[in-house]
Amino acid sequence: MILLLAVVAAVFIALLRGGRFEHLLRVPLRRGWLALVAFALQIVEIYFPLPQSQGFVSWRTFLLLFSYLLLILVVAVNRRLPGLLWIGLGLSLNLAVMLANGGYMPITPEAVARAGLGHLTLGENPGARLLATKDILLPREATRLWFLSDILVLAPPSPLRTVFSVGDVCLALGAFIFFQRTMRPPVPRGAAAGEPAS
Amino acid sequence: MKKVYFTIIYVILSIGALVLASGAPAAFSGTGGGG
Repeated sequence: MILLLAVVAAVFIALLRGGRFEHLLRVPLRRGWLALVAFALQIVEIYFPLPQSQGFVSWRTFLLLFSYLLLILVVAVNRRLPGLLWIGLGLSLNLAVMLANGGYMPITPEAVARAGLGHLTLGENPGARLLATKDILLPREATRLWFLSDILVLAPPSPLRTVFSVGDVCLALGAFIFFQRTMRPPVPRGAAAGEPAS
Repeated sequence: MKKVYFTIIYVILSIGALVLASGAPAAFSGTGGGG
């Protein structure tokens, strides 16, 4: 949820700063449709999950990880666009912790309780999935690369209750940079070097 | 004109999908969710 808000906020802030949608026409985005395919591939696993993670042997896990391969490809071919390196970094951090923990993003029961998201859990045992996420419940001591997992909590009284990772912060930063740079008017020649624009 | 709108929406949706699919998805319940 927090990344959707980050993308929407990035677009609105760019508009408030004088940016315009028509400047996006100049963005040489390549293979962007692969990101839409990757998003579609994740829908079943996120919104219609099994109660328990099946590990790497499941076609569900395979599809989830395959979708990340498509995302890596999109980032690679667009790496020169503003913010894409941050998006690539966030993607890599999230993928690393998921690969280290059976293909899903670990989250501790304590973090779930703090954020008040217990209603999303589909079980109480380690490996239980959370609805509408890529998460599995794992105690901290059983989590590899714990510091890259979903450890950052927005809890009440915050109106938004969510848990996210360091990788998600990088992704939000990348989206912010992308829309600020691409929606702004092009800088006149010489202006960057301090020459007066004529 | 249609192509202009399509291109703008394509860029926004592609970057949005790239970010959301790489990290925390959008929870349909409106109460958040992790990544």
